[in-house]
Amino acid sequence: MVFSSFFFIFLFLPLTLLAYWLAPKSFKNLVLLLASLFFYAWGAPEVVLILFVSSLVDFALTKQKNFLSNKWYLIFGIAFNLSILFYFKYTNFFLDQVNLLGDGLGFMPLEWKRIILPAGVSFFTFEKISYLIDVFKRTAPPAAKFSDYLLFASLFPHLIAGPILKYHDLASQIRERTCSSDDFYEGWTRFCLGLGKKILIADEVARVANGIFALNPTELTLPYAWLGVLAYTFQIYFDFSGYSDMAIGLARMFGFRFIENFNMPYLSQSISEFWRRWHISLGNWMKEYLYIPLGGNRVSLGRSYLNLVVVFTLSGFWHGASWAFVAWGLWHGLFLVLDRVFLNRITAKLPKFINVTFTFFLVVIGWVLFRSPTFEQAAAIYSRMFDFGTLFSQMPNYYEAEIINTKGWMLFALAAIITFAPLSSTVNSVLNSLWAKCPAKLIVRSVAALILLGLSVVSMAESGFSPFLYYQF
Amino acid sequence: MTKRILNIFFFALLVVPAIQYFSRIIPEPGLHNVPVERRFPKASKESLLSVKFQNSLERWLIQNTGLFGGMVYLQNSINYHLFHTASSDPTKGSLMGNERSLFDRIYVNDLNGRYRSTPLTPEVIAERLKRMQDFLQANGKQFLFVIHPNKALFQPEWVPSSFRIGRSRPRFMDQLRPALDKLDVNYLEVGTKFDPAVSYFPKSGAHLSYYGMCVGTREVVKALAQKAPKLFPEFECVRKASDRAPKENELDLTDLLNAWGLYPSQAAVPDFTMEVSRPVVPKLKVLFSGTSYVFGLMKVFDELKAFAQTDFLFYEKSLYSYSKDSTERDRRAPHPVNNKKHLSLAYLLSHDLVIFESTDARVFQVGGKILHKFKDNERIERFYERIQKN
Repeated sequence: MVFSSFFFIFLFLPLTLLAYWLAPKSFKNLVLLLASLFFYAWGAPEVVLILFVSSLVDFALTKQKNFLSNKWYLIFGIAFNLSILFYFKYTNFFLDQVNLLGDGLGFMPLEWKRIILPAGVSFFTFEKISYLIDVFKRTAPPAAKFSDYLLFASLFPHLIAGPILKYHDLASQIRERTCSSDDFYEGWTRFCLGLGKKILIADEVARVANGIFALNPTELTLPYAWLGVLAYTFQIYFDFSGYSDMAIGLARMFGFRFIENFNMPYLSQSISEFWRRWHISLGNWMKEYLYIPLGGNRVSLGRSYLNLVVVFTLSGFWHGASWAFVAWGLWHGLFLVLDRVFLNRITAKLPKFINVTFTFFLVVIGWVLFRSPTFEQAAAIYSRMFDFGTLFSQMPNYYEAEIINTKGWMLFALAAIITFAPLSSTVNSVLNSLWAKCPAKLIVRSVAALILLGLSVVSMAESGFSPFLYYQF
Repeated sequence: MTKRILNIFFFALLVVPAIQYFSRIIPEPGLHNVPVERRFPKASKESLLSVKFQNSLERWLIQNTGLFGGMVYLQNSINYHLFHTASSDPTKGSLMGNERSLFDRIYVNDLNGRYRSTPLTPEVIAERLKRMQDFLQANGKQFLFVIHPNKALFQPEWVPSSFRIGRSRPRFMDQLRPALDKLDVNYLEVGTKFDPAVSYFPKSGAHLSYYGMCVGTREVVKALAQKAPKLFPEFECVRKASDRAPKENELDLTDLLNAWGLYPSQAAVPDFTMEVSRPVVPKLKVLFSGTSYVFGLMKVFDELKAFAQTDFLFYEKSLYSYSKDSTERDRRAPHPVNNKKHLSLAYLLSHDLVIFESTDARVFQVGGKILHKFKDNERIERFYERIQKN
């Protein structure tokens, strides 16, 4: 089920809220669990059983007497969860590679029914692994009841696309939490903000990006190649951060507090800072459960650089089963290493504006790999982005109105303004002073949230279903 | 306390669609030509597992709570007034030009000299048209090839620069015209008969207005009547103000399309009357072949009650056939017919008059299947041989 759907907003959410409020305290978790399983089953009915069974295996493993002393239980649990991820996400990729290799050696290609990746598998696998490791390392006690653990694994606000929660962050909230009027208010206003980001901005700039990426790259001129890539840059940010806002807001409406997932990432002054501001929960997970176990910063300088590259290459592969995603991870890993080697020393002496521009440029270059289905297309887009001979040329076969209309231009500009306006201290101070002087903050905020909700719902009716980008990862 | 009230208000908003569904408190504005799924989707094990049911239910919910009309209306208004945009998606639907004038994408393509590539040169197409004309005339039938009028060519002042491709290419029809003249093909370029001082294209429609369609039909009739005046009526189109015509403040774009519409099924608001000075006894059987323009011609002819029978072949990827005998519902929701007889020479000859139309942007994709029958004389000779045998 998608948060930005009529069914979710006007049927699932009010019914779940009502049941949750009416239920006695001891049944509230049960209501949430049933709602979460229904939520997942609605979009992936066959996989809900896998989620259930694999959670049962995790729970049973941590209940073994020797679990804390015998690391083979942990290894088995991690391998078991990863095997589910590998099956759904990487089988097609690996068999494609085998066929590619076999084709070169003259073997007949293997045939199989292609596996469809259900939404959320990548996310809940990481969360379930965090449970096994947290319990093994005694960071958190094992869940007292299976239903508590299943609720952690399946809680609908984070189930499909994060934020990726660590068990020790949520365990205590599952056992005990309160939901005040303030929490509920913060929750729904945040939800409306996220919905607006997704429907009103991400989906609109997506039309521009999709239109341009659908063209033959050899026909693109430099400005249109950049327009397409920048549109995608804004699309992925507003789409994913919008989703995270909705997830955080929804959780808050039920008394949960999720960690923040974004913090104005395009204002980062280095790639290292970018990864402290972009998909924060993934960065934290990778750091805690992969980078540190690999040795972290306690090993030699060279080894720590290698670890960084390994972690980010795997992060790229986690996003998608293709070499382009691997290359994207490598690209980021490389600049993280360069930051440590010398870039951070240089950027420390440069003005913020230059650092932000340079980092944004690197990120945008990376998104081309992320968006392109093949290396060939990525290479073609890169060549058009830097073909200065076409700077003032018109596209030979397309006219502007066909690619971007007035609405597209206006929302592209709005996305850029929202993203970069906080860079200006003047804008910041003006906005802050205006907000400080605002006599009715609560009303202004509520009205703004409700307007976003209204406009988004109206837009949803016109455009129909639009899944989140991160559902595919 | 205030937050609690705001929370209650938010929750109340979430249940508005449910309340509206049962009570219909808020009147829902009607929408023309927006397909609405009224039937509740059927659930089965297969449809649930394949998520088809879930997707259908989502669509059903949006369209049946009693808020859909209002939401589409509001979204169109926002696009139209705030963004000066006809459609959210620039790759689909209409384009909005200067002074909020709508354009069908294919006419803009036409203006830019962009047409679907065809392996046939203009000379070859002209030869085939000539062969068709000779075949029909040899059997005592009439033939007219009609070149579709184009809003973008008539209202260039409404076409912004963002609709133009810098590189100029000749329009296909500009290349075809000399070849048609050379072979003496009977053709009419309807737009050349229009009075430049009169507007035949409504701003808010992508095609001709109803009135423009009437004038276009009159010119077609005049061209046909040159050879057989007694078979065709004489009439004038008189413009009138219509209460049903959309006003400037009508915000729903589907209401604003006071034109022959983007699709043959789209209804238009009549804004004219026909004053027939010389009616005729309907005798002729007429076959129209082409797109929405020739469908418009057919509708005006139907109103004139000028022909004994009118048939229409509408070609897209599949063959569609409408006939006067079919019900209005059939005309609005055509189904492809795979009846090869509609593409036969015998079917052409079962009519007294063939009006064949093509657009520039979709050169002979429309009608191409019939035209293919005339690629050489072989098929015609075989046809005669078969008739002689029978």
